Amino acid sequence: MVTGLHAGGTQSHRVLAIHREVQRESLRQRMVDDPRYQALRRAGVPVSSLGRGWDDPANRPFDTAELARAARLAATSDVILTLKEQPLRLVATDAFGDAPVVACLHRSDPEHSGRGLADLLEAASSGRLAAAVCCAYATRDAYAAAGVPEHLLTVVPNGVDLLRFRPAGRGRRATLRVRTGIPVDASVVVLAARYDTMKDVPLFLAAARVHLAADDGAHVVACGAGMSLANPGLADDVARAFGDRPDLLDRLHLLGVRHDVPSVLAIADVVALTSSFGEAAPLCLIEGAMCGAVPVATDVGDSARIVEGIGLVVARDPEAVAAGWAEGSPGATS
Amino acid sequence: MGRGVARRDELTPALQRSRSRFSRTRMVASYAGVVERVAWAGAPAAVAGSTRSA
Repeated sequence: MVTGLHAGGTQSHRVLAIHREVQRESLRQRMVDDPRYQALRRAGVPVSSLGRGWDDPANRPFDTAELARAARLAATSDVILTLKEQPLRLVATDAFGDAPVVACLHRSDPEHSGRGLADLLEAASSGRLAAAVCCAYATRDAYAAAGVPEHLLTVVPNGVDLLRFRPAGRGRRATLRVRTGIPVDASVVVLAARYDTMKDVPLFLAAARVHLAADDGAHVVACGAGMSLANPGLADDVARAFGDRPDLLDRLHLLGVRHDVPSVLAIADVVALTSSFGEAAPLCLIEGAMCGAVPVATDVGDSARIVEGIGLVVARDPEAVAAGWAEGSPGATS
Repeated sequence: MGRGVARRDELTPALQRSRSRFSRTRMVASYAGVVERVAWAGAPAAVAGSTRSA
């Protein structure tokens, strides 16, 4: 979004990150190696950080050097945007002066953001918060219910780069499937999500167990942080779901973190979401749909609104989820 | 294969028609509008007025 605003020519943006590195799947990931950092730099957006390491406690007070660095950036800014609520703790310090703040909100469970909700409410009551942009109607409703004044809440529904996320041609789709170890004529369900309680991975795996047992031409794919058997939690979940049918695991593909998500989604006939809470406007559904996959989602956040007319909403039950995947797959009977 | 009710054929044309609804360009334009509105509201009135008219 920032690259788009900056490239538009009427606004000039700079980015300040609190951490210079984070931990993902037991690996330290440097900011400069992150594809989003690289996209910002390619667009000409200066990016700096306060220099915090991956093991720096999130609630550590900001020190004098960090505040001075923030103050230098803030001094020449007309508007401060914060990605979610967490940076509001920094923005509320004297270092940031009195520039108006726009918070960008991306979840529908404000109570699960630590002290973020308290910081947001404080920013609203102090008059510092000029607007809060919600990526979903569910986000707006949840934050309004949590006490954020409704006149501050604006919905800007999520969108994706339609050039990156588009259906692949038959040849490219076949090549991508072969590279993933999937037959060209298989029916393929993809979940693109990190391993997280809100994603209800056990439900996803239970549905995969039903789907793969019922359709011997089906394959199920998952990619995202923690979505590999190197994650002991996922390995346990898989063992529980497929303990009686280990033969089905040949058609379950757990790819872990992928930086070529459009290529993974391009092999999908169905893009799945089995989340139980916390979602706002899940990008994976939109990205998958724009790649030509039928979105099949549980009713969480704005999922039902997103898939209306283009996909299916299913109950949070393995049989119901698997039935939805079958309906969205090629070769279903009428 | 073939245990579900055929829905894919009816959904695929709708998917193709829905692309503009999910455009990042639309999202960026809306965001830009919010930022501009906040920037103008936060500026001193005289400056905002003179710049707007430029």
